[in-house]
Amino acid sequence: MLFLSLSRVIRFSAQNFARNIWLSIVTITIVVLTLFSVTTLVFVNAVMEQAIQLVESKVDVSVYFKPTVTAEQIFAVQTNLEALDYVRDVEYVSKSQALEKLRVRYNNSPLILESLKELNDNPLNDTLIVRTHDTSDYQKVIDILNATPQYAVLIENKNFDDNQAVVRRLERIAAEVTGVGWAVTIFFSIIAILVIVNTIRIAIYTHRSEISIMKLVGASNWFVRGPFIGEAIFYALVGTLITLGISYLVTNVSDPFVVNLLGQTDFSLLRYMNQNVVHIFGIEFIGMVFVSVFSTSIALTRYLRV
Amino acid sequence: MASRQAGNSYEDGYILVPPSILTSRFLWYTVICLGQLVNSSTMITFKNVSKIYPGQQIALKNINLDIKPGEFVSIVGQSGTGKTTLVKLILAEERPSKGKIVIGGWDITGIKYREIPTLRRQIGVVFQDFKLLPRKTLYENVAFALEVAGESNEKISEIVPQVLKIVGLESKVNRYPTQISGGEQQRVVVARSLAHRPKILVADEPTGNLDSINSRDIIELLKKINDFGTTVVLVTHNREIVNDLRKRVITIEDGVVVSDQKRGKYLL
Ligand SMILES: Nc1ncnc2c1ncn2[C@@H]1O[C@H](COP(=O)(O)OP(=O)(O)O)[C@@H](O)[C@H]1O
Ligand SMILES: [Mg+2]
Repeated sequence: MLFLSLSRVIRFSAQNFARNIWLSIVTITIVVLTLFSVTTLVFVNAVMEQAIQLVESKVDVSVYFKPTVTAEQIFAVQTNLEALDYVRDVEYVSKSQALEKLRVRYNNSPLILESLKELNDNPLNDTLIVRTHDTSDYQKVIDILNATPQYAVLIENKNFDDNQAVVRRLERIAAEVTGVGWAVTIFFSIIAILVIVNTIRIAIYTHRSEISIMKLVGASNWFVRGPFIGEAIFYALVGTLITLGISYLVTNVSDPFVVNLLGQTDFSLLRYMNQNVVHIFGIEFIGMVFVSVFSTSIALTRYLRV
Repeated sequence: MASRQAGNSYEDGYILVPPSILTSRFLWYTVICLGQLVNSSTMITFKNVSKIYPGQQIALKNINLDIKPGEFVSIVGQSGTGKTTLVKLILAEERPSKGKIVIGGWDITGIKYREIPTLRRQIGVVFQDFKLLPRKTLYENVAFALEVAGESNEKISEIVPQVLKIVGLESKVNRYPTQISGGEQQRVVVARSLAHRPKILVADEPTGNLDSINSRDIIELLKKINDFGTTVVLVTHNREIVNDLRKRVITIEDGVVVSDQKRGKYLL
């Protein structure tokens, strides 16, 4: 009995959908726009997060030791620094390694390579590269190095790559993008609500004779309203599926750029999408069902009088 | 032996098989009396019913009505006197401003929203404007009424041909409403109103759009339905029809019942 009613309600929903086909297309378009702006927001957030992590991982403090300092002394400093709980790791780079790195880095610049060759003495220092768990802890490392006299004698120079400023800027951009993304999403959601209310209103109008007959012959209220609710869910479903398709297309096209941009982090948008597809679009579908059923209820209470 | 025979004679139609003649006779009378009580009870009762629409439009004033099961009642009166309002009150499409309405023993004065479908499934309705769905065949139009009320498919395929046969359209079940005449359309509406086997059939000016021959057909149909035992309430202002019917006529004027005759004539 319930199943029978349900199948009839679904059939009537499909008829509602088909009878005002152009209106249905407009409605689905706005549903897709809404969902796609959410998807874009999710993607941009994922990429931004990766970018911030990438930059954060590059923040470090380099401690350059005087040429007279022995390796043992440096290792002692390294051990002490590693003992700090906010320090993630301390990397030792000898001056010959540093020179090698320099050569590799400027492999494509013959001029610099020439000048490096001309040096008969290695002008570089032995170095410790300190990374902390949190970017805000770099200042603590610098402070400790400054405040400890036995370190000060050994250290020629220290250099705090101020990537933190870059991180902050990225975070600010991410926040702004998220803000704009939400504004766009809310904007589209409001339009979607208006469009769906109107679509259902017209559907009610188109079916006014059916509805009055249904009521006169004693169709339950659920049965009268069911097809319109069904239509709303149908919009959410079709809209989500189309958004899913478009999102895959966009991901495929943009992935090379993203992979290039975040080269070192091994991040792929396509892989991200594949891993989270059920999650992202499941939530979007449920959210859109809420939006469209809500809109339909508005239309039904306003335009479907008993 | 005698008591046994007496016992047997009461078996038909009654579940109770009495142990002695005396008690059985007593029960027998009780059953008859109860039966008469049921028979004498009313199908439609209006008690001091008034209907005032928003804007102080008084449509019905202090209406008292008793319509018995199986009756055929015509309600007549000029346009705007509250006849349709009366029909809407029976269907719980409108609620009385004052008074009490009882349908088949069910006090529907303060009927709950979700109970309305149950009421309507027991009342067949025929209106002046035909209200058939143009994109459905006659068969589908009748089936629709059963579908939306949750009737099973087997039941639908059993009932629909039956009621279309009653109205004499069994040969045209697959036509669309535009492919039949106005009178035939109205007969389909009657067929649809019968689909739920209602105890009451309410027809609000069913012949309003029809010529006299088609009108006569519809009225004959209503009489036939009444003969099956259905209570029929016919709203009309067709003088000939009312005079030919020779049944009970209730005349309404400006929202008030001005006459109620057992074998009435059109007064106005
Ligand atoms: N929904 C309504 N709101 C306000 N006034 C109404 C409404 N329906 C009917 N009326 C008024 O009530 C009176 C009776 O109307 P109605 O019952 O339709 O009369 P009839 O069917 O006898 O022509 C009329 O004066 C009409 O204008
Ligand atoms: Mg009327």
